[in-house]
Amino acid sequence: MGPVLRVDGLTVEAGPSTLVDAIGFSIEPGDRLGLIGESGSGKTMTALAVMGLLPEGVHASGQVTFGGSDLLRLSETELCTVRGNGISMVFQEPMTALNPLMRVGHQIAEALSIHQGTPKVEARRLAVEALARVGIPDVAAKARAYPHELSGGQRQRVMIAMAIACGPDLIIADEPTTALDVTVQAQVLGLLDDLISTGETALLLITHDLPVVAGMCQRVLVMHEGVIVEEGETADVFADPTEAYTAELVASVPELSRTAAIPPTSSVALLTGEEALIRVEGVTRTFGLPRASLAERARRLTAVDDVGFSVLTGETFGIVGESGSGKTTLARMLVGLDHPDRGIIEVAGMAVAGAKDRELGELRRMAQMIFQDPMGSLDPRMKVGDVIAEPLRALRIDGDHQARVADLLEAVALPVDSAGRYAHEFSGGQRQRIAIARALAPRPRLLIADEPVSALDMTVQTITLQILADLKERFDLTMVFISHDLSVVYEICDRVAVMKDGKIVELGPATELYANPSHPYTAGLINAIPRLDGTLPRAG
Amino acid sequence: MALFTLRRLAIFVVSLWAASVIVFALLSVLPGDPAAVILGTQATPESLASLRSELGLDRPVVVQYLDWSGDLLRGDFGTSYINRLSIGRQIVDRLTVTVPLALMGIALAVLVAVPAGVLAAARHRKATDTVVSTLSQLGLAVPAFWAGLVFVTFLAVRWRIFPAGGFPGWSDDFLGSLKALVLPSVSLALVQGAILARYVRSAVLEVMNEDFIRTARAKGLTRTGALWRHGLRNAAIPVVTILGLQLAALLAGTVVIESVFVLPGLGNLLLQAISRRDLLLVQGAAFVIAAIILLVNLIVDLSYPLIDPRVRRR
Repeated sequence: MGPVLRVDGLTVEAGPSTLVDAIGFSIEPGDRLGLIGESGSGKTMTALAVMGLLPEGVHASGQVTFGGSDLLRLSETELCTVRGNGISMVFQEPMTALNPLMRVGHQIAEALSIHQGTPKVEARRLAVEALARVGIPDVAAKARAYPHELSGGQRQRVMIAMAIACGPDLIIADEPTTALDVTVQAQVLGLLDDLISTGETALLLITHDLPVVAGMCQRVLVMHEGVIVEEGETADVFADPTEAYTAELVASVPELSRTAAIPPTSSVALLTGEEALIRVEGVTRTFGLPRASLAERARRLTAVDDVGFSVLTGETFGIVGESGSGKTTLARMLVGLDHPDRGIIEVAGMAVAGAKDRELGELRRMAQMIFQDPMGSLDPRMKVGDVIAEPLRALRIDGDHQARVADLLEAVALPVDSAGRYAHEFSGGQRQRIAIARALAPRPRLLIADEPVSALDMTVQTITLQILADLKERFDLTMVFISHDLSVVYEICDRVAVMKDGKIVELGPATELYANPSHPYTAGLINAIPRLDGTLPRAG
Repeated sequence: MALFTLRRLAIFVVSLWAASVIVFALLSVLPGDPAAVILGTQATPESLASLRSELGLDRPVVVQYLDWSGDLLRGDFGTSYINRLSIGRQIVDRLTVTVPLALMGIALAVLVAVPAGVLAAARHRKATDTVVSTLSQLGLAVPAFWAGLVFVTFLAVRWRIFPAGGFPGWSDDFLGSLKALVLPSVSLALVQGAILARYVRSAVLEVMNEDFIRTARAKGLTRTGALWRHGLRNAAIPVVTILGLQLAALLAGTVVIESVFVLPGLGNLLLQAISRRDLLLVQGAAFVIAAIILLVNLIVDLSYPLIDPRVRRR
């Protein structure tokens, strides 16, 4: 029996630019192939070309052989019999990938009706079975739920149920767990692994995350600027990459994903005897929830629940937690963008909690914030120089603004002429460096970074973290670093607080906490991190 | 869902009350004394004063408002100062023309614009799209009253298919009445249909770029299949909002169109009342128009949870 999918000389072009350049690969039945690369490498375009779902104005040429025919030469009607039936696809963003107005059971049943002509009632019964197979609890009720009534992990399970409904020969999964929390990622990867190890279904797993591929796939392709630069057995490629680009990718994998065990004694000496720059005591913040019915009492969500800690002058303090743990609410309260229901927040002796906006002028100068999305947080109609100088104007800080901007651009390793350009002319990593320069403009003592590298590619993450660490030394900063990503926090932080459901469940020096987690939740989080050596995490 | 409905109903009632206050306040600050209008130039100060007390105009404004709004609650709009007829009766009479006119107008607009907009989106950047877009541009550029005059010139005067104006009355000549409303409603539908077609087209285009459409196609649906099964209902959400606003605009448009076609509708009544300074009638008619628009908005609001399950919990 030949390969289930064979790609020869596949080229994808959008007008004059070549997105994928004459690539070739094949997948055997039951085989699992990883396709790794950074954003813009052409990996998603490859998947969409195979599916015949390229966006308008993008064209594919070459050969894509599946089930004895060349998919690139099939008519739209013929392709429709392949999609969802012979080859199915799982997408990255489970919130937007499901129709918000249709019950999830019906969305799964639809796949069966299309390809097998299953009558409606029967298809809906099978959909409930499919939901049970992907480990959704209380299936009968959940089948009648709308996507917004499910959690992110459950939605991705629904996507997988949809993909396996017709028993495809090949599943293409494009960053299937990138949008999920680390423990949920572990569960979903485990599910995918179980589902396809039982049959002849092959998997093409597309991701930027090397450890995920290490755990899931025997073979791997490394894609860079539209070309496959390296391929081979996953373990060999990651252990001993032949191409410089692959080596760079492997080097950018965080230490935590690299080693099976953290040495308990290592790196940074902890600060002692320094005074606390931030003091947080008994801080609680609740939000009102909408009532579901008249009979129900009004409910409140406790986002931050009786939290207390101090951040010492000069240290990098990490706050990790999964989505909904309350970490961003906490960060917003530290800079006075939000206020607690009760509790004390002091920054450099200044009472922040409950302070009026105009009383926070000094805090605004002293404490600056960096946000996750470097595109969304920069005004697209402002020149970069003006973006960086804006806090100086807003806070009425005198001096030579232009010279300050030039200094800051140099500090974040951007050319000085960047000041005259607009944000969209820069890459994601460069844009985040502009955001960092802006934050540093009023010479703050405290930098609060909320998921500053989560939207960036792996290699860019490494560079950005290095720049942040350098700047911290150079400008004598204290930093609060917030992230869902334990590996990143481990790389940069001296002490770490782990948050769950609004509470700090564990707090300690980074090395100690990672080597010897005392709270089971912390241990679970650390165990859920995929490792480069291929041990697939199993969330309990 | 029950909570949602109750909340919307409460908002409706409060808005209705606010509308009555605004309408009353605007007309009481307006210059012009109804008593002086009724008695004309020959009035003596004594006759003015006695008429003012007879009409209750000498009482404090708040008392006048409470009196008027209290009567409104009982469905009593009062009696016109000028022709001594029941205002409620007059408004209801005129509504039998204006409401069918507006409904025919919006129905025509929807019947033409929705399929045209969907078709244009489905054939994005193809000839059909260009034709629909050009026609809707044209429809937007042409004022309704001018289109009405062109229709009258050709379809009524030259070819005599439809009457040029006037209204025989539903009970006297049902078919004739229906015919009399055709040209006015087409004129009204033209502009609103052009606007609607553009909205439908862009709503569908936007939805067709959503991730879940890609999922639907990855499942094996054709582009058209995905449009029918997943696209249209999602595209309906913004379109329903626009439709509510359009019905309000269309109602305002009836004022002009009713004068072009000499129809005895509410808009016409309002114009006459203004020119005769029949302030109580103006007040009543303006309030009814405001109430209709609020009612349309209530219906639009209540239709959201039927289309979109995400709204049901709010």
